[in-house]
Amino acid sequence: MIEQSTKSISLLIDGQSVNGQSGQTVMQVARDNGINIPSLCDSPKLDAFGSCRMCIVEVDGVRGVPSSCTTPARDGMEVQTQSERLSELRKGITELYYSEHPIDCLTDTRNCGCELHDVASDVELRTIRYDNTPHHFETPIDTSSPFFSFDASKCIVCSRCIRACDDIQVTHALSLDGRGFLSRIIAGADESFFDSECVSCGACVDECPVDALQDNVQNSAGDPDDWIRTTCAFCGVGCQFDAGVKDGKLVTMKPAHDSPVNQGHSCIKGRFASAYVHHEDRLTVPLARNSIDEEFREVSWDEAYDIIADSWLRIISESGPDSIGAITSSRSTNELNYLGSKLMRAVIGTNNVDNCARVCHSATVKGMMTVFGAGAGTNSLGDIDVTDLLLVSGCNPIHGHPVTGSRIKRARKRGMGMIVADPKKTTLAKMADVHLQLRPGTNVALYQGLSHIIIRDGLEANSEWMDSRTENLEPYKKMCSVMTPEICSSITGVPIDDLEAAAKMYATSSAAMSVHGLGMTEHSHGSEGVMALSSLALLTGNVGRPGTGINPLRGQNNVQGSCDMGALPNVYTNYQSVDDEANRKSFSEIWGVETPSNSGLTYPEMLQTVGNQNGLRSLYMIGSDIAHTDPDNLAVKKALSNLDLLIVQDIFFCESAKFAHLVLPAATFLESDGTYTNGERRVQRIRKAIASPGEAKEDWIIVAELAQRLGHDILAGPSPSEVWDELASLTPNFRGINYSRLESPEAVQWPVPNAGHPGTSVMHSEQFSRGLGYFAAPEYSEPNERPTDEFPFILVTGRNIYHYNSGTQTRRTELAKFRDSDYLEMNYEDANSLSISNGDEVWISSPRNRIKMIAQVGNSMRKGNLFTTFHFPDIGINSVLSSSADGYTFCPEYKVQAVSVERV
Amino acid sequence: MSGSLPVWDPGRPGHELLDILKEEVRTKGKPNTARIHEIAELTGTTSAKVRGVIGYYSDLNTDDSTVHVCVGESCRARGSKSIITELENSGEVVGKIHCAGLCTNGPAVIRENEEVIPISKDGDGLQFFLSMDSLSMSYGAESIAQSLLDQIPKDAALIRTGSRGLFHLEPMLEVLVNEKRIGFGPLDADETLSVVDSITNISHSSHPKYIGEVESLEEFSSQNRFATQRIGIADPLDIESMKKLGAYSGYSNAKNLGAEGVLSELKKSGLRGRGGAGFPTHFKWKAAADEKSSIKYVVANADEGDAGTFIDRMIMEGDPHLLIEGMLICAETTGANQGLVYLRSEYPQAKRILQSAIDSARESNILGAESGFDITIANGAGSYVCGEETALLESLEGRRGEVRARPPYPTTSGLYGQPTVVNNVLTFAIAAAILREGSELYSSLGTDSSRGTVVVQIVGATNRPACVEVPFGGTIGDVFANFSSLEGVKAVQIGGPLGSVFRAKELHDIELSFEGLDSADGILGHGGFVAFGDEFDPHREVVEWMRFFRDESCGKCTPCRIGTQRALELLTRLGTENEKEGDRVLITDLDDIMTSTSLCALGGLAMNPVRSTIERWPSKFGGHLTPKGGVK
Repeated sequence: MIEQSTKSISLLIDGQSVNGQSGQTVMQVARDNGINIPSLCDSPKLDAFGSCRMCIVEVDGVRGVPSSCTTPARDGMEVQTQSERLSELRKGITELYYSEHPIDCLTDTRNCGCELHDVASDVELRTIRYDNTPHHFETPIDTSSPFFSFDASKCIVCSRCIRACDDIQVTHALSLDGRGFLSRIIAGADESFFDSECVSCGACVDECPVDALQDNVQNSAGDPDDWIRTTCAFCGVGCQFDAGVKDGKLVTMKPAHDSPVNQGHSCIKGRFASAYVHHEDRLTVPLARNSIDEEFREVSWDEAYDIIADSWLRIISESGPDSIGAITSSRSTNELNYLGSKLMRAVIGTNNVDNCARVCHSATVKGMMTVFGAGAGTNSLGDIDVTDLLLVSGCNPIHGHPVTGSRIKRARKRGMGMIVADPKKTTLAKMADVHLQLRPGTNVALYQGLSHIIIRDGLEANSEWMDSRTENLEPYKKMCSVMTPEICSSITGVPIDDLEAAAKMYATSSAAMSVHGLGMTEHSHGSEGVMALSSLALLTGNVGRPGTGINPLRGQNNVQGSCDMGALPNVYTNYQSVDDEANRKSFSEIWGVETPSNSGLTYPEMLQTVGNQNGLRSLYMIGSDIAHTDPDNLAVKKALSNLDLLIVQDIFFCESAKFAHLVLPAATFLESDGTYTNGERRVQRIRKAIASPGEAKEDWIIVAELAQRLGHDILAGPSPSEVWDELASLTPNFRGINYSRLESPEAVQWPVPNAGHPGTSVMHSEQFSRGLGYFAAPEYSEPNERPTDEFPFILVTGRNIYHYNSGTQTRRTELAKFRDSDYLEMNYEDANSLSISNGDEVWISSPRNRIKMIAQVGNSMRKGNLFTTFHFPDIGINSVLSSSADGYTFCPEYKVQAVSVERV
Repeated sequence: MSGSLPVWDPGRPGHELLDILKEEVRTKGKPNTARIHEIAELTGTTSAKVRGVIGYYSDLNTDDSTVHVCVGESCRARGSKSIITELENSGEVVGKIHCAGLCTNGPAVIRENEEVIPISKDGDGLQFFLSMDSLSMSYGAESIAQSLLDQIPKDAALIRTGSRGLFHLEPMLEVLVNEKRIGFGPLDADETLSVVDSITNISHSSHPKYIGEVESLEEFSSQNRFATQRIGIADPLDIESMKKLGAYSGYSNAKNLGAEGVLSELKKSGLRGRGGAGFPTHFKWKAAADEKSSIKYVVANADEGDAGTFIDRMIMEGDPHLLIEGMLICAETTGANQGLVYLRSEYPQAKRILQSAIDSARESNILGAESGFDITIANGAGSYVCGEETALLESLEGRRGEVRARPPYPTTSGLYGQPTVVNNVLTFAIAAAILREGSELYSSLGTDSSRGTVVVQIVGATNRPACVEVPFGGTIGDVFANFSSLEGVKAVQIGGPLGSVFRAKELHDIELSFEGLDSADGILGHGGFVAFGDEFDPHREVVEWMRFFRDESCGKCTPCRIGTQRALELLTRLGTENEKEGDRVLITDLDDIMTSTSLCALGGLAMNPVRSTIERWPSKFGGHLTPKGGVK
């Protein structure tokens, strides 16, 4: 763990007494105290560089004019930032810059907004005595990126873009080429930005002081007239942004510097992909039809609500409330998910409510709940900055959670150890100390195998921890004793040496932290996998302290919140069981109705009952597109097409809408108020920045109006704030949270049991939510999907940085230029044996379906394993997958699918 | 190296990248985009970083030249220009290099793949000694060796040594006669037979090239040889012989003294770093010793880029164990575990000999796992500024040689962010000599602020080049008088390309010391004194200097990156018909900005030779520059 002790120091800057911290530079102290020292190469987000020499100062007792950005501040120091001498030198340097810079930047009275112009104004530079002959004037502007351009003639070679790429994004896509006067910025091997390793995070554009790198989107739209702080909706990291709006249109998304989540950083999606909100495909009016063979007709909201109300009342009277179900959305707000659950439970009278987290992290909730008593991430993203070792299991944050991916890479650069457990040789795996390239579906064996080594070598936590904080140790030890390195290696395919090395690293680091993704959960034994991983943390005492814990990286923006809100068939808010009479009582009391006591169905279960007697007859889908995203989706489509009433509430006419009777136009996150909860339990606001197109409405409003039409007022007040207050009153862990607390940039992390509570960055520090940590000892079982002679390959699916899950949004942006299809990644050896070359078209087959894909041959997958993304419905990879799922949670086995491959 | 990098960082792929790229460029030419991507993958970095490194280093940007001619100051003064014309007229494509360390015998003409392995012979009979120093080889030592092999008695030995530095006598053959080393030189290959015969006949003293006992020569015996004490005496690669001459005795003394004792000895000795800055060595070592870190580095700066200096090369070729010993003592004192020698690519012979010495030190367990310290040689790739310690560290990390801002100083955060001592080769050598001889002897020499000895290298347009180790003090004019000559010398540049230029007659008033040069607005640098003769063209030289600085500027800081280019433009037209109104004050202003605000000494001192030359020969520039504020 990095420990820094700083002490307060006091300096005299320009005669003014100011305070700072030891370890700060003079520049930092000056900046913190509002004293402006001209500078071009310095940036608060970057390490001191000392190249522009503009920030020179005079220091008492020091010869010459040191640069303030590189001069350590010392107690009692006396600094002059302004003097005739300094002005003279700064003016001279600025004059040199302008001998190399388009002169109109200086002469044009219209402020071009660049920092060089500002500095020139500061030093009152009017004319340039040198010949103004910039040598990069002839260099063509690089316009290869749809989002930004690079004009070398404006570049002042301050290297801020390079440093941003190296030290913030950590992609290292930029460099200088040439030397001295001929130095110039290049991307990749002197390629275009588009062709280089650049991932368009935009950090370099943010840093550029002179608009050599320019945000084209904002540039063509003009400066925003309003900025609205909101939360990004593209993954569970929960980055904070200021949405720049001009004339009612989104112009730019600027990552917030004051948020602890993203610290001013962004990924390509956060910064550039929200443009879909203005796409012409947006749904703008409700659409209805009597049967799915008919064309849709535009209807009014009134008519739409009437159709639903009439239909549902009829179905309830004929078949009972349990023939109706709802799937709410981990993409929508907490308030929507709460109200969706309330609509089903209080208005319809069924517990048939579920959300799309079912198919991603439901196994995390089950697994962590079993071991710790809470299904949420134990620690915070900031812990990555301080941990000694990161165990990355079944996730590829560089693609799925790019801002966290960069945070991990930054930590790796500072010397953090790293183990990556993944069947795929991901970028992160390549940079790890140990890559455990396991056979898909063998997580339980892997983590119990590591525990075996730890127990064998006596590296587990001490007996005080075991006695005071845990239970069920002996059965666990017994179970792990079976999983010798030899057996573990034979099951997982991981070499014994790697197992030994990983076990020792994890157990002996003073703080080891685990992050995991769907590679842990989307298995036939996903819940057991999470139990095995959580038990490993428990065994080594790596939980309950900073820099430790089990931390699921949530795929969608509100996976945490949608589950926290009780949009699940068996629990109310914050996992309060519907079986529990006391819980039922308190909810019934506040809701003013008797709530049903029988658990509802998960949505895969709901679909299975369609067409059965007493089966599901109507489904209300809010912001999910299961006809595209669910496995065996030909079967899903069949079930959907057999419903009496399918209501699809979405922002676009998605795949599922094709089977709907009613399509309701919804608002995007930029058009809505409410809250999301990110993967570290941080409840953050989204705020309405623009109006919805046409008649589209916010999700929570549609649900509330529908309830109204059914005769129930489910709103405690007119705004989502009152919705939150109601649910918080019903939920001990949220009681201390209200909207006014969420105004601060850092918002707050639950549990927050009361108003005075500061929030919780590390859970389980004194005791576990369930009291004692429980060593779960599931027995390893082979995955349901196994290779056969006919289907000899195991296919793993996952995400790509340029798209967001179903791709409904990102495919409608310029991001499609970066990746326009899903590809099948396969090993050289397999490709050779099937005479498949890179770029060949291949058939992927399973008992469900056969589809065509383009093969990408490489070494990212082991022999016998395949990988593809799932963003393009036209490819239809999910139609190939089976509905095999986790036994506890029905989370589908997306990560292990037996298929065959042949060249077309 | 990259296997032992302390942290993961694609931005710091390690020095291996430079080696791989050099080999790539040498064997396959400059890599294309696809190949750059492959190399990036192979070396754990990205294509941008690989391309950036290629774009930075001269050695990685090959031309189709068939021969290279040195255009460093000394070789320029000795007529590079006419050699280049001559070669070009004969159809050669001439590439230019800046100093091969052959300054006394310039202009140096270098052809690739010319490496010659010095011939030697064992034997118990007569002992012949012949230098294998690169300069000696350039004077023709190898043809002497060739012809000797057939002529010396069967039981005679031909021992290859470093050079005594008496270049006016090179190639010089020494023979051990009656326990005395008698010398013959300068020899031609066809004179060797007569030398051998004269010895057999005991008539050697009447041989026309007989110079008597070498160590009794006035120009030799009047020196105070500390760092250079063993050079030229024995085979530097024969570790046992070198030990008999005291090699590693300083190291055992250091071990007995302990870290505190060594630091105290260094402090008492008054040793100041010889890279140019003259920073007290004991401060630097103590700063590194005080750091708490499990990884520390000792780096020898062997990127001897100042044209006119070559003593580092002579040490590495003539007494490499002295460098190793100095680094070992430093490691012992600071707790460092890894050593690196950053050796410029222009010194292939030094690399071969030093590597061989490192190997034998490993075999003797002086280096390696058992001693807890080992040394690796890392090759430069053609960049003058990589002689600056922080640029050197960047280069060692496999990066572009861009200067780092200080603080943090390398002793706190150096190579890969770990505490690192970077010292010049000569500094390590003197440190080892001090530990061998004791600080008292060393500090008894020199002046108050410049203790001990200085290695003076007098080169360029002089008929009597020299490389001598003498105490600080006295005037520079005296040194010339005692060891060389100012006859026909018009100007002398002291301290490398960035040093000030003086008229010959001024040298009698300047003390040979750090402070002496400081008060004359000059720098001592690495002890190089380049003489320019009658053909000295002040304007042409000023332009050449600035062109060199422009070409070699790393480009990190603005005053140097843009300033050197603007200065080149201004100086080129100064005093010509192209001069523009205001140029004279603009140069003065630019001088002030570059000198006051540059990040490192390259930009900070670039105006030194310019200013001092224009001051002394204003008529060659259309008159004096206008002082600041002279024109508004």
